[in-house]
Amino acid sequence: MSLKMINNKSKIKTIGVLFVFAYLFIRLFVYSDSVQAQEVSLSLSPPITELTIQPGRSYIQVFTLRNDGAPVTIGPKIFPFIPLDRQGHAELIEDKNSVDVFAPWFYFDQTPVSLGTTGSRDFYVKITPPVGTEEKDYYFTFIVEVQNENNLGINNSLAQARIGANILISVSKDGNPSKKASAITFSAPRLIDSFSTLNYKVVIANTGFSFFKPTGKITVDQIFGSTTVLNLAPLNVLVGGAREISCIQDENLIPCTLPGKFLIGIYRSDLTFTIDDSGTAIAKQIYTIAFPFSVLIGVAIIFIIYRIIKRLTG
Amino acid sequence: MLKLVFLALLPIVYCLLPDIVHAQGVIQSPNYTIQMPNLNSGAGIPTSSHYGISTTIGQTAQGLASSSGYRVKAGFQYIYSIIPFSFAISSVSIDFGHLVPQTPVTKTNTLTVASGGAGGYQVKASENHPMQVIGSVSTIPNTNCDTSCTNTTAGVWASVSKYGFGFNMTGNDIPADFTDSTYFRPFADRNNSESPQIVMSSIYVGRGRQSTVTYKANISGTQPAGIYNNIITYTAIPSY
Repeated sequence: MSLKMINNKSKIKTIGVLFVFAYLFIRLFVYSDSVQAQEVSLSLSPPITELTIQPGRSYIQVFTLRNDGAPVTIGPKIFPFIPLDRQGHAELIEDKNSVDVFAPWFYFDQTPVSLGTTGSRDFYVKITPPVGTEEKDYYFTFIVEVQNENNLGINNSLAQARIGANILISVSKDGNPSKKASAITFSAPRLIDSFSTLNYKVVIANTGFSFFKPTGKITVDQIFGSTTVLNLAPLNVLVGGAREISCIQDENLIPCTLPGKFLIGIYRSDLTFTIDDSGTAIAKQIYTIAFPFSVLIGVAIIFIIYRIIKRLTG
Repeated sequence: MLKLVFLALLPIVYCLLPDIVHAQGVIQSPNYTIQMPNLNSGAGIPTSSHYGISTTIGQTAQGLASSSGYRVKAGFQYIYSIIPFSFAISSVSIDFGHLVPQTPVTKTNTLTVASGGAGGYQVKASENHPMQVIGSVSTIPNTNCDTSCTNTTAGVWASVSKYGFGFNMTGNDIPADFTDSTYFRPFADRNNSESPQIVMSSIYVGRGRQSTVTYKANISGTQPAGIYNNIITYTAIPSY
């Protein structure tokens, strides 16, 4: 290989490397994705704590707060809550009397603290239901609140952020509080068109003394056909309330819907679940008939139109 | 030649450097169980095939930790417990500037939620009081829209001769009564013992769920002069 060819090859390689470097430089520093600085951006972990504890005993839960926004001053609080609806939403009880009743239960540093961007803070919350506490469930939300700054500007609203994590406490001396469930609703349409979806609604009520998670499934047998299993999501059902249970697939919550674009025939659906994966299973069964009504209606309409046209032209 | 290759690789290496992850402390005593170290850094969902449904990153034991006196489960063991619950508000200061009678002013900010909790989340909103001159009884009243609206049901507010303060929402997981950009609600007024109302909610796990809040203020010609302020509190809580 001549010297000239070697030099040319070397030049090409050099140009190539420079091109890659220039591309990366431009991509990273000139045309990088725009980052919008969010004035308040907080994350809190863990999002839920489930505790079964004897009266008089203590447990310390650590909540980690991370700030990914502008520097803020934050302060922690704890409020009791009650279930707001069947979708797992909490209604905080913020009146002073209700909060003060449970003040002796919790010990944590309530001093406001400043957090810079990417700063994090661990809050150590010592939970001690007093001796003599009635054995039942108590529900709370640990809230971290951004402290107000003075309003600036003329005619101004200030948006204040609060972020929470739920604490479910079952007070029990023997650690085995009574848990009872009932399936309030297990329903699906009795008759559907073959091209529509078969959606199931599952609502489970808690008639016991402690929260639980239903562990179970919906088994759908197509008569003379295949069997499909829909796994119930293990969502908490709180005492005295009910929860609409969705299904779960690969860690994703999904509606309880029978997959498939075309359904035909009789479908027998069996709901079975246990409380916290133990004990006697609770079961319910329903039937659904899928029939291609839309196709029949379409054919009928076409036939009628054909007959009319034939008559008119005949 | 080697120098050029090195320079070309430098940006790539810089981008690949991981964030430093801090583990939570472990607390031990005869009365406590081991606090499961939590490596949840909010860095995203690990993609390793070793993580199953019942595993949470960083936890030394699956499911239940037990000790005499109590049992505890921290985090959602069965669904995405790797995503910390996060909430963000852009532009916390909603500055309407000088208000001119019968000239509505709108300002916006965005709410962003990522919920790794089982069953989703909710964001509730309320105001400490109507926009008010501090130390005075002068307020810009909460809107009643063109005909009617409440803190639970939005109504059309398009008329420039209808005065007040309210908000509209667009985007993900917002209440269905915000039909379009002309529908507004007043904020729940805590000073009037009104309960905060849900402005975003979902029953499913989600990342980057975002909504835009449009704040609107319109005053009449008889509105007393002054600087009007209030505080809108947004509370984001994962579902239990």
